[in-house]
Amino acid sequence: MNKKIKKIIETLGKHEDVESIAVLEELGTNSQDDEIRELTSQALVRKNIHEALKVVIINKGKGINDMSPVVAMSTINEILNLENKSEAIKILDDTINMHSDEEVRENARSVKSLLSLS
Amino acid sequence: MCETLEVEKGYNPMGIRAIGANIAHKVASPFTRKSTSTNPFEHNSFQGKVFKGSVLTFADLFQKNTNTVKETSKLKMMSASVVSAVSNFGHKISQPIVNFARNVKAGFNNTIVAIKALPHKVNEIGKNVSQKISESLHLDKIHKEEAKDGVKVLSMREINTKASIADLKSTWIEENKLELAKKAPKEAA
Repeated sequence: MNKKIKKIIETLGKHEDVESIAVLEELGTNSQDDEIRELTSQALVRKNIHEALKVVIINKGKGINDMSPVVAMSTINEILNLENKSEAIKILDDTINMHSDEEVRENARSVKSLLSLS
Repeated sequence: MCETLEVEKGYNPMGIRAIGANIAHKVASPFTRKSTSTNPFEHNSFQGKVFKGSVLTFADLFQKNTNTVKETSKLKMMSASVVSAVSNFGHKISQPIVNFARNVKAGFNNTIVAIKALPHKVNEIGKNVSQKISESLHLDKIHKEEAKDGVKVLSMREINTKASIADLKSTWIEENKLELAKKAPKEAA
């Protein structure tokens, strides 16, 4: 993997500017490279704010709903490692109750059950 | 008569000198030495048992061995000469080293004094060196190329949380282009 891109993803993950989330979503979660998508999802989860968690939980094909099981599992693992999971649980509840896609709702339900067990 | 008496009594016509000589043959003199050894314990007896010098552990101390004395004296002379030679050698070697260390120390102190006295000149020298290096590596041109088209491509050092989101994004896009350019020839092959 390109070292420069890896460093940019890490930097955007730590950046205080909210626009960094948009860049990560645009360039990271839409990348063809599984590794870039994985790192981007992890960076978004670590931010632990509503806008960033929403990207990896409610969007089909991104984060926990990624087609690659490696990316999905690493995102779930990152959510489980969060110290404060309250924001993640809130978004998961909203997704389970209100999302139009059954698959996304099912994934959110599975992650929430994992969070309750951990 | 006289002759018979002489024969009966064992008289020797050669006189008292001959008697002395015969006695000397028959009786061992208490003053004669059995050996030339200087060891007084070499021949001793106790209750009929005879001990030789080798039996007594301390008897060898009295044995005079001229060869050993000679060798010892030679060894002493040799060792003395070696010790003196070594001490002289050490002295001769140590002196230049001490002088060298003194010279180095003096030179170092002089350099520090000179640097302290001329801080501006040192700074100027540093600037000149950095300028020459950048000129030789064409670093100025690289910075200009990066800045063209209004797209700023950050270097690895510049990628940090202080950098703007726009610059980080443009750098990422440029890197994606480079990655695609690298992959294209491989896919074509």
